[in-house]
Amino acid sequence: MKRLSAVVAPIALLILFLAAWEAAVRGLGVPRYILPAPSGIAVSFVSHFSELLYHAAATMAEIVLGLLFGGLGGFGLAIVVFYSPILERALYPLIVASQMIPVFAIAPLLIVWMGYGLWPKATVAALIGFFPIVVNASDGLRSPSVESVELFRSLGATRGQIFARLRLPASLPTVFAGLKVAATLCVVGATIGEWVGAHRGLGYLMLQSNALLRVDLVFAAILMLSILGLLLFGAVRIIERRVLRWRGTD
Amino acid sequence: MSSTAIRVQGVTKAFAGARAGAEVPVLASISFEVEAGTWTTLIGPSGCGKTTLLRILASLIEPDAGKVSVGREGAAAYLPQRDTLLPWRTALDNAILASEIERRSRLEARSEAVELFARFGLSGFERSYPFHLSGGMRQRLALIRTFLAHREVLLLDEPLGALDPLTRVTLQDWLLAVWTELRKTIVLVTHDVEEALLLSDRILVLSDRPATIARDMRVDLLRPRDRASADLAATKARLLDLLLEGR
Amino acid sequence: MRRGTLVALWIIAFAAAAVGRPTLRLSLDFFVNPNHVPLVLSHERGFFAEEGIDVELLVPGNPSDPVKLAASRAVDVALTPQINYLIARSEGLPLIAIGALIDRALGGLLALRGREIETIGDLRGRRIGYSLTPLEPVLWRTMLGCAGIGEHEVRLIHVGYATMQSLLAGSVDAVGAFRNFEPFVAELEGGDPVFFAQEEYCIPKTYELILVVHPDLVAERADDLAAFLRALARGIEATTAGPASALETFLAAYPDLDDELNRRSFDATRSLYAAGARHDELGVWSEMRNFLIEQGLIDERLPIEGLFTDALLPPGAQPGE
Repeated sequence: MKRLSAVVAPIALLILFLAAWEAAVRGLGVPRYILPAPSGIAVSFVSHFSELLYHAAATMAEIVLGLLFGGLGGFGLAIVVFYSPILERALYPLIVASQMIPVFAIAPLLIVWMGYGLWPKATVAALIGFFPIVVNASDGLRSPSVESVELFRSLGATRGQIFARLRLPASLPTVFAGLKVAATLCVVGATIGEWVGAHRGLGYLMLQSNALLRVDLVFAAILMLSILGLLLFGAVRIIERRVLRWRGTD
Repeated sequence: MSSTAIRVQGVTKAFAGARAGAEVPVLASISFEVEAGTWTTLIGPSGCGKTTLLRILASLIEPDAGKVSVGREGAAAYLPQRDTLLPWRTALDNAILASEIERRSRLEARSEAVELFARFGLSGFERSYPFHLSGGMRQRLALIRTFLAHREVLLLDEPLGALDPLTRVTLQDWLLAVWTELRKTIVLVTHDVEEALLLSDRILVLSDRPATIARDMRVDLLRPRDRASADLAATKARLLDLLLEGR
Repeated sequence: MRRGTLVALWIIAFAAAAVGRPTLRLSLDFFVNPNHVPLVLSHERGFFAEEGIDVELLVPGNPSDPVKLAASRAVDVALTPQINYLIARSEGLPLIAIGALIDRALGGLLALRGREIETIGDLRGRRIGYSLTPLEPVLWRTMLGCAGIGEHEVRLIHVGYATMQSLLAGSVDAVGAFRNFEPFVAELEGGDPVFFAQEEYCIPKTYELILVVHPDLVAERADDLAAFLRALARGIEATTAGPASALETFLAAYPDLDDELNRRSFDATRSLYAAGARHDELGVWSEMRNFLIEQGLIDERLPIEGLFTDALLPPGAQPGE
């Protein structure tokens, strides 16, 4: 019964929201080149489905790669920073500052270095996505209690053993929380990456449609992007549930 | 044959205080010796430094002054006060932690653990995660882990403190039974006066901070001891007076 | 007694409001640049004020916003290229063109001689970068086709807004550009630019920057719009006649733009402004409309009538002069 309400409730809310949107657009006479009605977007979505799928494949590849590298890079950075106080002091301000750089400033740089294919977009996605992972992984590595660490030390564990058998597994819950946030950020990152140089992808499609004033198609692309985001988020959650099954019921 | 398992001479320890330069003295020249195979309990007011002393015995921190020797190098197994079971490992894998760290045979360690699981009433829970175990079961698991470290000396920091009275009684009996069989040297820290009298050969009463040994008493009651006996009650009354006196 | 004071205050307030000039909010096509000098001039030298109006200049968030803003009446007037306007009209946006700021083409392809490109034919087998999609690919393919280069003989790459970086870094060999801006960027970076003007390669003549409004505004605020166009025409004439002082006025208002690039850019622009703000050569409209229909960028059912009106233009030179 709980399962049912968990599915029905968000759907009901969504339907309510869409109905309100439709009514507002029609009632207030909002022009469709400013904000289309959900009905218009749905029609666009269906009629352009194969085109949307074609672009979605490109964007999804960028997102997944970005998440992978952002995740690995972020985690690696967290380990380095955890074990070296000097590097922590040196790197942390840079890591935080990296998030302040607007993408359009570095994207041309990346494109000059890496061309116009998959990689610059994946890099932009990774740059945006790695931050929650660094922060969360750092916290996670720090999370074992003093008593736990002392237990290991009293058994004669080396630092490597304390890392592999205590800190690493202890950090996984927070790392997964960071991964879920990073997943959504990577979706945005890949899209922004496409705005600065692409010939394929949902971000590119959005730009193109916007220039043609086909705003319904822009929103259809946004809808597709949301679906990708949900799928990715869901995938991370499934993996999380498997890896962290020792936590008991969610 | 008796030998000295633990030798503590003039151990003093202070910690840095909240303000710079302010030091908090915790232990003031503690000295005692413990015979191998005996059960010694440390008792005293909260925060008087019992855990600190235990950690010094476990070689986790250094005393500011004095000498400590605990058997050979690494002869002690330490059970911290707070729950240190690894939630991502099964009960069995938690139990064999020491053998993994010391790179001993996993297979042997596992079969040994399974035996102890049976003795401690945890049969069938080998593959369960700590999340699924009750408080009492988790403490039993922690004790199994401590025993499986194969050390001569066991340092137990309030292992039964967080348990309900019924579970506590059951575990006290278990501990006693296992100790009687394995004859480890045990140093126990507890609040529970009755527990101390039930289990120990000797009780060291620590004073308030900075702690010294206020009283060193042998428990001359014959084993097996009866919780309901008049002798125990009388000793308990005397001990309580002692403790209240010391404040 | 008190009521009398209150009434007097209301009267004074209304009178003050009546004395205030009506405002026209105008969205530029892009960031402020030398294309806009006559507009700024009319503003700074009080031509708008003398005609009895105030003009508020607004910079859009992105190039496709101006037409949307004018069609939804979030702004009164929008500055936009003729081609963008026709695409918007094809999509059903309610707009009409009332005048022009620049009445010829500015666009084309820019390459660097150092890459062994002298003629447009040298672009065969090369990479062309563009930012405005899907418009630019259509334009450049037409130009290249005009020079005998087939679609499959060049690679068109969307480089976003970083066109000059891509060109200078060598990621692409040519980019879409305005003849009065990007070539100077290349020059100042030590490059040797070569520009291929679009109208020389089969692209119909176009009004690069026109002024569009919602059709209702033509009826509601005819006087204000006419006043605006009169003042603008004056500004254009003043700029063409006295470019040096016009530039100084412009730079005084936008001191950030006082650099070599903008000076050179203005120098190349000053003869390109639409005399009399005129945009009413029917041939220009019908040819461009046909071109865009052929290229599939607009719907063939877009009527030629009602695309523009010359009713608000100041009397002066006839079309075609």
